[in-house]
Amino acid sequence: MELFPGFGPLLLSVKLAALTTLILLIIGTPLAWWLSTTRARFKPLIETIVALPIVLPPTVMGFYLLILLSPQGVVGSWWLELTGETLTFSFSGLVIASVLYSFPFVVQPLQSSFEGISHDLMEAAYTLGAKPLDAFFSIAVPLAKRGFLTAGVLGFAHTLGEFGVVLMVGGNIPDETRVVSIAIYDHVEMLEYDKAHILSIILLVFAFLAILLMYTVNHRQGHRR
Amino acid sequence: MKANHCRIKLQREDFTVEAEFALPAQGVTGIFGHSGSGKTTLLRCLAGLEKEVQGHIEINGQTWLSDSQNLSSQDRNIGYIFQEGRLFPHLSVQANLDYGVKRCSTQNTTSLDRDHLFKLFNICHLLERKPHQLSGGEKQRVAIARALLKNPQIMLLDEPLASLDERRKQEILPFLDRLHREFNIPMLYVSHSIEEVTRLCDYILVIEQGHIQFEGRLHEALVAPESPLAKASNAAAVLDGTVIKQEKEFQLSTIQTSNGNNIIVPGVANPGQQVRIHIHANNVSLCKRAISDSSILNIIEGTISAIIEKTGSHALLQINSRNDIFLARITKKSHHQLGLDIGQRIFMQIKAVSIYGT
Repeated sequence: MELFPGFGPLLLSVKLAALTTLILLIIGTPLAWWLSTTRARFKPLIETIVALPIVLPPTVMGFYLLILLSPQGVVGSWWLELTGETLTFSFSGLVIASVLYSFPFVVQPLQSSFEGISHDLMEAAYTLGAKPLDAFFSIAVPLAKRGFLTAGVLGFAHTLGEFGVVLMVGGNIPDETRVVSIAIYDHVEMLEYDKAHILSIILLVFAFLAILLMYTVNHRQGHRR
Repeated sequence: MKANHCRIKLQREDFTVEAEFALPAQGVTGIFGHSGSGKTTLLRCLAGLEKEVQGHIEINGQTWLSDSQNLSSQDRNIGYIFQEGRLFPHLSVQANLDYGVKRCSTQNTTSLDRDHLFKLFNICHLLERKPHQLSGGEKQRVAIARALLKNPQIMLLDEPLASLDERRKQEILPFLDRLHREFNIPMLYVSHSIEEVTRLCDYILVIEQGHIQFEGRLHEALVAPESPLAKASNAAAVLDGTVIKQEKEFQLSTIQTSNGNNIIVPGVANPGQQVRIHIHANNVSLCKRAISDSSILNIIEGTISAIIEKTGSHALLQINSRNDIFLARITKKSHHQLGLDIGQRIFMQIKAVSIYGT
């Protein structure tokens, strides 16, 4: 079902971004909380690893991921044994790559909003009978909702715009790894500027609206507090 | 008096708190000390907020701290009042008040009448508001009610008035008095203000550099020669008594202490009312004979029971009258000229206008 040229890649990108964001929120939240509260000496090391994808060229990351995820690689061979499928040039491999690639965009906003929550309030919750997990969900999470919004929007938008890593790890297989940024590149290569225009303007408008939403909501809440 | 025994040791890089003391099972116990003396740390150890503490705490037969365990805050049935209230900013006052109630076993809370408590703390009109819409005093009242609602075994108050200005302090103090009178919950009250401690407490621990310097009944702690409080420049004796007479035309009341001394104080109070009066050492002068034609209304006979200290030009004397203990600070010169010594009969003159009651 092709509603308009490029609908397939667009849908695939949205699916990839949504799944990646969900996974990142689940694993990024405890890590961000730990980073915001720990006094461990190796904390800077963990923070560095988390931040690495921001500065690392996507091709470098993609290259190492290709080696890791390939059927001969550590992770890839294990996955092959487990599921009978390869990770390279597959949607599952793309999800793993995206999770790593967008990691800092979810963990960092969460960490900084957790750091803004006074530990004093958590203590007050404990003295009122709340167990640590209960206090986390009833005090820390609601107070960090701006951080969750920022993390969600940035994680989603950043995954949507992913190009270099996908090219290295996923290639260009329709409905499997041909995400919207790859499709745009393809169209341009083949001088189909009209098709490239449609997809590009959709991404541009989406990016603009997502970030506008983030700033508007955060701004309004900033005033209410 | 029934008491819980506590032994606490907490070692920090630059600071050690090491204290062993009895914690009365009823009434208000003050933990008095200057800032940095370790009094808040001591309270946090009792609350289970310090993980590295060692020692032994047993409250009402339940072990909170021993060699093998350090019960978490949520498992100690405490009510903790922080200096700044610490209301949850994203929750309404009502939701803040419910927070602790929801998290403790139901049989715990039924004995408390919510409406009565809300009226007592004058917070009925605040329930729909958010914490940022409250004044400092209102926040602290809500925080106290929030802690009380879970019906704690013990209330721990960490300088609940320190973040408030003088007017707000005066606004909250009566609520703390009520807390004391209406609820039969033992309280621990940390403060660096001797005024607050003498007003509210029955028993006192004086802490300095992480160690207990003195512990005992408030009345003794204020006048005992070995207590640091007796040597303070604003040293005062405290007496509890009952109003036995009022003189409306002169705006005076007569208080009788439990030991039978009658003391005239300013203000009209109803006969039968319990009051605590504060008599500063600087407002007590001494005389070898009773003078009848003096403007001073209170002339009380007693015996010099101790000479606490002689510093600079002053001498500080402890005087016992029918087992009520007073302090008198006079000049060394007068002390010398009158030839005062321990065991001597003496008349104290106390200006009624200088006495204040709470």
